Amino acid sequence: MQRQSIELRRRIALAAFVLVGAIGASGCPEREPESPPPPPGPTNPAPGQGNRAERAHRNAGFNVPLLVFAATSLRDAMQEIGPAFTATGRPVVEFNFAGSNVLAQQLEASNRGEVFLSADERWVDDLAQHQGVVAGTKTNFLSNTLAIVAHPSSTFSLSDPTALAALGFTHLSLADPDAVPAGRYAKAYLTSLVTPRGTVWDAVQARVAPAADVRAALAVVAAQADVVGVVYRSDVHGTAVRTLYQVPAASLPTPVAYYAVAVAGRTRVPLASVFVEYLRSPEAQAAFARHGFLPPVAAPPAAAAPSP
Amino acid sequence: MNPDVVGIVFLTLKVASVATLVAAAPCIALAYWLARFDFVGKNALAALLGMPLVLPPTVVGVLLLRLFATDGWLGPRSLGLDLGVVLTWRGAAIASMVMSVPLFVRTARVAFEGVDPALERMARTLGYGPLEAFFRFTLPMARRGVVAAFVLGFTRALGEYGATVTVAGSIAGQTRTLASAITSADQGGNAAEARVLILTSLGLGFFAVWAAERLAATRNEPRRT
Repeated sequence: MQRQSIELRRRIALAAFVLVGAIGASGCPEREPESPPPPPGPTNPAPGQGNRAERAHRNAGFNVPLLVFAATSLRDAMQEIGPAFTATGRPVVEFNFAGSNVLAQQLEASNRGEVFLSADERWVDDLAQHQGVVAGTKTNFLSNTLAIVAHPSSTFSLSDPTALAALGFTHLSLADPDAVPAGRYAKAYLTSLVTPRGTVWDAVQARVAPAADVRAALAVVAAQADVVGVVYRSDVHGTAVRTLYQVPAASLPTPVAYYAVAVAGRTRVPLASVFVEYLRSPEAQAAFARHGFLPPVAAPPAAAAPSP
Repeated sequence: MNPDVVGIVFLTLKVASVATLVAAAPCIALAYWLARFDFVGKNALAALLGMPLVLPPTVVGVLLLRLFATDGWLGPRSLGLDLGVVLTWRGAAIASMVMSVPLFVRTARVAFEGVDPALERMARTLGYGPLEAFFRFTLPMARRGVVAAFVLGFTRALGEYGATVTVAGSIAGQTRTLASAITSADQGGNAAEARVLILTSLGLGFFAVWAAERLAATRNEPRRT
């Protein structure tokens, strides 16, 4: 019996160890130390040229990667633009991708994250209110539009978006319209489509299936033949999903505008500002266009955002 | 913006109960099998069963979504009938079941391994068949561990979010469980609504574990000290 008990204890300890290990491995990104060791970054650019911002960022931890918090929908494009920015003789760029709403809350709760790329203006303003942003850096650097999409093998067709409700789909897959920008844009667009019997949103509302984010909404459309979805045009780019109707950007009640801003209270504000400016450069804009995004809608010098 | 808390709690309990009850018998059988018998690929099977613990829940969700997709292996085009899994409460139950199976099997397996096989053999010499020996001796002796497995499985299913929301979405009144309702309210900035739901969730989770502790409570003194 004693041996049995030792054996049992050993097994329980092993099971607990495996469990803890598995839980540890499955997530919980660990907090990195305040100043991570310098990566094998690029060498310093030739001195003497460059503006005040560049001189300032050279003084402040040049070899530490620039940490950019970016909306999920930007992932593919940013993987290309990050290295391109580094290739201009500047630090490596690291990204934290999540929904804009989550990112704003993370930035407000921590002292990390130097640039915020949001899929809508609301969360930039939220950040400005709670954490503070660097005055004059808030920039609309991209726009996007919506697409009504279906499974590759579906037989739905749609030439007039006001006829959406007449399609025989079981569910309309959207990012959560209460929380996620993509869902809010979709709801606003469908609400703006008016038919003699009311808005299209009212007609389809009972069939709306909110997803955790826009990629999840697209995944449901890619899986189910009887589901129709409303997602960003840039998300459809390079997938097998069929576009039934591409919404002209001009017909959106609120333009899908992406905003970049340098976060206040961080050590390398000038470098963050340079990155924000870079997003409007011809190289960056060309990369965004390759991933299905549209050029910015607003004039570049945005109104100065409130900063504490 | 007033959430139907009662409806959400009822749906959450329904999803978690169905997930746990459907999983119970196969999980207990598997746990016993893994505890008592050696066979080729035993460790591989145990590792496979543990995968949902290791993978991010959304990955499990996406895999299930592909499995039950229109063109998936268990989809309407392959089976010839529609199981009605994607974007339904059944999908939520399946997703939370897959996420809770590893905890259930692991805990129950440890409980069965704690029962001395000699006692089972003794029961067999007294004329009990293998099934009878299991139900009259092994299962009662492993009772506390098996109840613990139930509780862990049920509470995991109760709070499951990532896989569930990927397969079933977050349709109010149909698939919006406590976890997805909290996420939606919290991320949408409805702090008051989120607070009500979080308090409800805390109360429900506490009650579930407390009730299980009571059920599993034994009058005997602990055997091993």
